[in-house]
Amino acid sequence: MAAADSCDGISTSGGGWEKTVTLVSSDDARFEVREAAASLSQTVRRMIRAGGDGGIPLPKVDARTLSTVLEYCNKHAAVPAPAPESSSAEAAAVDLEWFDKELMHVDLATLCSLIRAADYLEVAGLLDLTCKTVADMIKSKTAEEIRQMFGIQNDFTPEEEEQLSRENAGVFE
Amino acid sequence: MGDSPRLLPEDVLADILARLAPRSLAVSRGVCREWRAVVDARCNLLPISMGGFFILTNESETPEFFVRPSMAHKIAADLEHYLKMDHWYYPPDIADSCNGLLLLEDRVVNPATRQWVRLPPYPALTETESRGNDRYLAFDPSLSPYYKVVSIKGPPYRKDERSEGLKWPPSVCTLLIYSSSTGSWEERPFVREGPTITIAANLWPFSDLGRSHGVYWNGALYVYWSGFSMRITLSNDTYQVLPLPTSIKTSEYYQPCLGKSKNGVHLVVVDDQKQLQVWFLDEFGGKMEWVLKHDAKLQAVKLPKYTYRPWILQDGNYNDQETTNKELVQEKELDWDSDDDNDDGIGEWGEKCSCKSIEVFGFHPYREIIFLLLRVCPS
Repeated sequence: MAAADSCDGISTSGGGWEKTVTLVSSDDARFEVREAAASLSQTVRRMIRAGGDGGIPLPKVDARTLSTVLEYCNKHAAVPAPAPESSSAEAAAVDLEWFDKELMHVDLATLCSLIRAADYLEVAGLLDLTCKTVADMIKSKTAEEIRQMFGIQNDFTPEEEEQLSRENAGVFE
Repeated sequence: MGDSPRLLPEDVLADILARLAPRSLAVSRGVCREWRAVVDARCNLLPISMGGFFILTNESETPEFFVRPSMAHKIAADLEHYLKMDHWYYPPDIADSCNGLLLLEDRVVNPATRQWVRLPPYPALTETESRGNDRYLAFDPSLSPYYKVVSIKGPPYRKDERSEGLKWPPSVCTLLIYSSSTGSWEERPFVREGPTITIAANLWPFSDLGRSHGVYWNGALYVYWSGFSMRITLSNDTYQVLPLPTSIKTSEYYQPCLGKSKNGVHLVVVDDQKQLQVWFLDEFGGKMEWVLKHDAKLQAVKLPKYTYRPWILQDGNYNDQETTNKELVQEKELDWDSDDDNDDGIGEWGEKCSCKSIEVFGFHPYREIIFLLLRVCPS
């Protein structure tokens, strides 16, 4: 976990000076992040614009989740924009895809925390990635398997169950 | 569920479910009430795109399914399956179809999700009485997750049942309407707005050549009878009579076909001179006007020599596992998007062929495309 200590708002990266911001998780961990990376979150971007001292509080995201979100933001904001169709652009895209895939190797509870965080922080790319991952997990499951995955109670009445099975009458299964 | 770590906001859940194929979406509806509500409330989760269409040609008894290769295994087009359990031995008859739903005999079928439901019998009508009724589906998933089945008693077909100067439809037309939200039929009187037309002695053919058909668009059901259409507004229990375009050429054998395409209701007719005319019903600002959009002679046509992206024709009784697998392999090579279908797939145009006959299958639901069956021979 990369909780940053003090920050003067400036750090070096890639040879140039970059502005940084401090984000504060619900459990009071402080993260110093490059502004370009933090701005992938529309919520943070708005708060940066609104100004204020002492770090940006994010009361809905815990440190563990926030560190993963920032890992994503750092990686995606770090990608330079070389000439399109160059071999390095292709390599960067492959690398990013690989990174995303690795990041999604987590259990469902973690994935759901990430989804809630990406939704609250409005990190569109991460929300898309996590939703796609969950959709892939659901797609070949039965209703009962999905309930078990998500810890959902079956709250249908027997009549509703019957109606559903009539609608889904498995003529093909 | 309380504060389960795996709880998701409703918006996000909808986002996730929207990524599922119709079959998985149908399964998701059965997880719990909340999920069902999310799927039902956002009926736009149901993808609106055209996977294929059913056709009935003179050569086959059973409707065949004309489909993009990539969709062939996703849509359960084997209509007899839906009827088999009742020992139904007749070729399945599609009474109507609307935005992905089929009205198949007495049941409503969604071949994409494989869901189906049997309609209850008509109330207070014997089977013989109800047999003369034509039934139409009214379903628009972008407006409501519920569908309606509208049953209309058609005009008297037999000459001896028709009195001279009979005005039809009557000023108040009683329709039987089944609503999937209530699960029952009700009788509703519809009041005519505007003028009617008088039946001429020879207006309706005795045969079923001019078989009536319906189109549902923007909350109104358009039913084509020989010579005119009815525009039935389901929300306020009124209807209007729509005469055909005055300059349209029809005959007993060349009846126009009403359909829904881009921006609304269209009419297509091909006459014995192979003249193809497409009319658009302009309803802008409350008017009702047929506008001629396309007028061409199809005496001779150039057809592509080959195409990179063929559609395939599925037999209505199609259920061969081996062939299905073959299609799955093909899918990777041939997949294309019907929403993006244009001349690109055509490699080379062949010589002109002369058209022997033209049959109209219908309209693409939201693109300016008409599907025709051409029988040609080299000229």
